[in-house]
Amino acid sequence: MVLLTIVYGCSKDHTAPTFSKFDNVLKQPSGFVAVYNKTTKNFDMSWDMSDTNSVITYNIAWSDSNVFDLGHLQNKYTQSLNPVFKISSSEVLKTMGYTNLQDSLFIVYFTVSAVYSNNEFREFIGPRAVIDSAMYSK
Amino acid sequence: MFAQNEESFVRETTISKRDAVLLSALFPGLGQMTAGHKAKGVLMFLVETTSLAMFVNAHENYTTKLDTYNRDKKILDGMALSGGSNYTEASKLFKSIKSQSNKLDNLNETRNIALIVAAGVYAYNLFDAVFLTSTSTESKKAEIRKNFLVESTLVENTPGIKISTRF
Repeated sequence: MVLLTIVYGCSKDHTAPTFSKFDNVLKQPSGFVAVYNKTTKNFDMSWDMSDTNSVITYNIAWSDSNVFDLGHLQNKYTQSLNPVFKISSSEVLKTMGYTNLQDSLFIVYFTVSAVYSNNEFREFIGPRAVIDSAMYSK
Repeated sequence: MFAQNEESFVRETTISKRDAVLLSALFPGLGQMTAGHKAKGVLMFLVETTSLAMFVNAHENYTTKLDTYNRDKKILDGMALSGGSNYTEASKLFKSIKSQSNKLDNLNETRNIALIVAAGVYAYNLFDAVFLTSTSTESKKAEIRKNFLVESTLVENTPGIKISTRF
């Protein structure tokens, strides 16, 4: 009894962590495509979102590294529910710190996430779509 | 006169069973060591000391890491409604918390095992002191007689006793 009492007194006092609040609740956009339009000097993006329940907008993120989070990561809200977005190449490069790019070719990596807002989430940026790359050329 | 002196000498160097039990209750191994069972006493003392040290160390680590765990868990739980948070950061934080949780489980297991071993050694030590360790006057007398040689002698024509031992 003494041993059991001691062991009970020292039993773990932390609960197991759970990710159920986020996992399998939030959806990621599919079919994400990013291309560079040399004529307009814009990056054009499009994607699909089958379930737009609680989605208020989308968040586009870009980076100069194929290890996405290790690069100069930047993002912007589309302020729209349309699954398309255009952004000027100068803005993309400038936000990453490339004001006077010497290379004639440059690869930028893009992704998109749905932004959720409801009783459980407040402007929460959901899971990312598959990352796509677009080649910028002068 | 010689016999009386030897008897008093023997009586002073032995320990009663009651004292051995009390010493063992104070800390495992002490009673056994005092009663002459040095190897057994030292072994119990070392195992008890090591177990208690492991328990204290694991308990302190657990307490410290639990604070960090609770802080991170609170952040994760509040991310959904904090505004501007994102799934990627929440996912990274969750992996970190999961790893912390596993470490806490291991530390909890270590401290419980150390505590059970310490309690087990303590219980066995008491049982040993009460039922197994011999502390009778006769056995001690025999042991002391074996180790000490007591004989009568004359020193400058004065009668006395000579006590010699081997080391």
